[in-house]
Amino acid sequence: MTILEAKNVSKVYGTRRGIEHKAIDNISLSVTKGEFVGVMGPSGSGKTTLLNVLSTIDRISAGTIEINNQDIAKLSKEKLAKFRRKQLGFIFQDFNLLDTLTIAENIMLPLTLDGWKVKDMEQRLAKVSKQLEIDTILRRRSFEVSGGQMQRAAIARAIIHDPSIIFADEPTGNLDSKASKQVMEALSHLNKEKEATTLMVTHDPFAASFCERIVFIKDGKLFNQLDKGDSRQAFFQEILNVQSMLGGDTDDLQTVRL
Amino acid sequence: MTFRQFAFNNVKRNARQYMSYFFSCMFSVAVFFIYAVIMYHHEIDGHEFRANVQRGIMAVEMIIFAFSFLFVLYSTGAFIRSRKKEYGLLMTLGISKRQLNWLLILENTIIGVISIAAGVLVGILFSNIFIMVFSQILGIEGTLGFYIAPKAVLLTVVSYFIMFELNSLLVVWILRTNSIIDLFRGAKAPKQVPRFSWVLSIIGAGLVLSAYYLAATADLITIFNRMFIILLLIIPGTYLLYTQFSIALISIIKNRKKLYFHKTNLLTISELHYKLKDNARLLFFVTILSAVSFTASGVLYGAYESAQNEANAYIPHDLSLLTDGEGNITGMDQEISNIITSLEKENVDFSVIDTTGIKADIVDSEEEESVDLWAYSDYAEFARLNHSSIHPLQNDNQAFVLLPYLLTNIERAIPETLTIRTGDHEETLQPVPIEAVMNTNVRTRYTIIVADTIYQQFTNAADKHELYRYSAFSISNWPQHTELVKEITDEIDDNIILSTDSKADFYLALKTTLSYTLFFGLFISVLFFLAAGSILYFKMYQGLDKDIEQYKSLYRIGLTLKEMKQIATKQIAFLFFIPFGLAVLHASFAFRALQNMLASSIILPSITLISGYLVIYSIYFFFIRSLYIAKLKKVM
Ligand SMILES: Nc1ncnc2c1ncn2[C@@H]1O[C@H](COP(=O)(O)OP(=O)(O)O)[C@@H](O)[C@H]1O
Ligand SMILES: [Mg+2]
Repeated sequence: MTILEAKNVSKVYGTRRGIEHKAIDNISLSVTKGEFVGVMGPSGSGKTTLLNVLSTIDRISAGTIEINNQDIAKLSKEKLAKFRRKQLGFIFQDFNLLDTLTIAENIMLPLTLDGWKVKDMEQRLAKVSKQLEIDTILRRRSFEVSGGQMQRAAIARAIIHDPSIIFADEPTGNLDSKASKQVMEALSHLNKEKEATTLMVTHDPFAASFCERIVFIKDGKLFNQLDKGDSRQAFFQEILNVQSMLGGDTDDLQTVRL
Repeated sequence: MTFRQFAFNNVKRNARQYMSYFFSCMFSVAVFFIYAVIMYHHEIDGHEFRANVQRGIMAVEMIIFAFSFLFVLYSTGAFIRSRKKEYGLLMTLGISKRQLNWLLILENTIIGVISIAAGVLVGILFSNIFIMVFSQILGIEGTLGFYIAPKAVLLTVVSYFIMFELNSLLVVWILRTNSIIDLFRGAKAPKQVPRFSWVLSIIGAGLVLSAYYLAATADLITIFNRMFIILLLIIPGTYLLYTQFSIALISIIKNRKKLYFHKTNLLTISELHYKLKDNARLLFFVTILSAVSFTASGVLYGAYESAQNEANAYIPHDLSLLTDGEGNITGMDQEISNIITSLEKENVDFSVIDTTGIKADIVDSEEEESVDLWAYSDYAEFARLNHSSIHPLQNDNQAFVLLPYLLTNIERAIPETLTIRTGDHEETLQPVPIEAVMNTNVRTRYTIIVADTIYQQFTNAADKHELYRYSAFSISNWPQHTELVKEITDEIDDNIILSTDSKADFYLALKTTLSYTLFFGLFISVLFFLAAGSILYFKMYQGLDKDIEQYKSLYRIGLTLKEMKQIATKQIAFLFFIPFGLAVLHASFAFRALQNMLASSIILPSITLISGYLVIYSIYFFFIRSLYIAKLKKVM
């Protein structure tokens, strides 16, 4: 069953001086239920832009995107927001946990906004926090736990409402290798055990090696696709090969604003 | 790029952040300048009020200046704090401490110079209107001309420039010890969970409640002693209410899961939890400032508005003439007919009574005191003229002693018996005090009403020179004819008429005195109030960027714009109207206590005034809210 179907999607950014920049150029992509798809590419190739348009955060300039057979271009902003909180799950590089809430409150937030009963919310919370092994830190604040724990809390928030698809943008970008491994194992586990459909953007080959399929993009265009074979080790090697073929920076430079 | 250009660009780039800071500075410069213009106005300089008024203006100037200093210092501090990360970055990039200090001073100087220039310009625009209002209030004939003394410009520019520079130095001094790492941390120090203590919360509530109790039960005598105690209770009490009690209250709400986890409440309440704690001192400050300005302006305005009632209380007859002696009594005919002509010419409805009284001496009095005697039937006429109730005399031996308004409140020893004599007639009477129904004759000890038969006996015995003639006018709707009455009383010949009393004169005199106080008092109050609003506004503006970040991530996980608006509106409304509400409550109890000092109710004037403040405050609120909403829309 197809969860996400993108056809000939383009995204043009208009700059202030009127110069147009095509960040996404005619990309088609489809994700079926239970898939774990990775998107890779050099810095500035349009990965984040692609994820944003697919996840309805940003509008596309051309093409169509359907999620669960719903053409998202037809929804108003207000409806889109409600659509996101019911159907989609989000994981970000900087975790995006609110520091005024406890970990538990952060995780329950999507359900709260949807008007769930306190009892039902707590049941769900108990389940997902156990799955992600964060049930001991639920009462703490986000700044009182480690990066890996924060990201797992963010994953818990992304899945608590059983979304149709999870979007992850550089989920390991701010984590050390040990925490990266924990987080990727958690995502992979969710994908295998619960058939959680996931689309993840990353520039980290190690993280990407947990996916089943990887889509490479360069300058906003599709460049290549890789499917995972039997061994993760071999898959990892293949990823590195394609990356060196792609060239360019593999690391996202932190831009500095004065 | 030279260093100066860099500083200039820095201001330009941070324009939005600087905006609120700039407007507040400009406002205070403009106000200061307008007052300076009035102070140095050549026509005021030469006016007879000069010394008095100038001292008043000088005091206001000093208050504005002291306040501006604190305000600018606070604003600069908050502004610098929000940009600590930027300074940290500059320092890692190799900017030296000296250069950073220079940058700060230059930046502040640029802002200072611009707000001084803008403030003076705005001041020039508005000073004309201000001068007109001012001359109206002081009753200066014609208005003062439009004139801006160079001295006023000089004073404003020099004193504010010094202030901005002093401020920069202070801020540099505060920053001096911070290492790079501290500067970085300053930008995103994690928020600690707000703490509170139950004991302190209860003490806070207890202090405020006991202050309210003392205020509510105070009377004319006790209020003077209690005033200080009330202040001593209410200030720390309010402080604890914000720092402890409010946090305790939110914690209680948080434990009520059904409420707390209901839709956007989770976001609203948890944010408020931190915002209340972060802004507790600020909200406390705003509350006290507003309460003081409400109370001060309410009482002044109340007194001003009640001048009419005070006049009614002190002067029973709208207009009265009193004279004695044979020649004057005949001469009074002319004066009365003059008054009647004037009133008729202006089509004013009136009625008039004309009576005679007798001067009698108090027997056995050491200071040769005398009384004025009037017949009971005349007393009834007096009372009827001003719609007072008429008391009956029990017997012929009784006499009413008319006590003026103020004295009825304070017990004045009235002797058991009173023996009075005119010519060869002497009577011993039992005095009974009642409230005055006629204007007081200040030349005698008592004004006495006796039974008509007794009065007749005194008349027979009295010499022609020992007679009084009293004529009272009832002027319908007198407050509308105060100017006319004043003209009339100015025309009266003092050689013929012993004393002329009118409500209009009393009323006008009271109003002029109060109008000075009211003008300065209201001005400072409004200033305090606006400053309180500006501080809130400034704080909101500072936090805007951080909030926007938060809404951005919430938008991504599916918070709708409608919900964002709801949350933002609720939060801003709480931060704005909690201090307002508490200040109104404080002020109401203050009004309750101060009411004792005035004859007429100040409820209506204070409600009017607070409604006025509420309007200004709501404008502030909607302004900030629309700013927020506009920003929120950009997130999407
Ligand atoms: N809001 C924007 N406005 C204009 N150009 C943008 C915007 N966001 C991204 N871009 C440009 O689009 C291209 C792709 O950016 P992005 O999707 O962030 O790349 P990646 O995530 O792969 O590093 C870049 O050249 C970037 O400069
Ligand atoms: Mg990116």
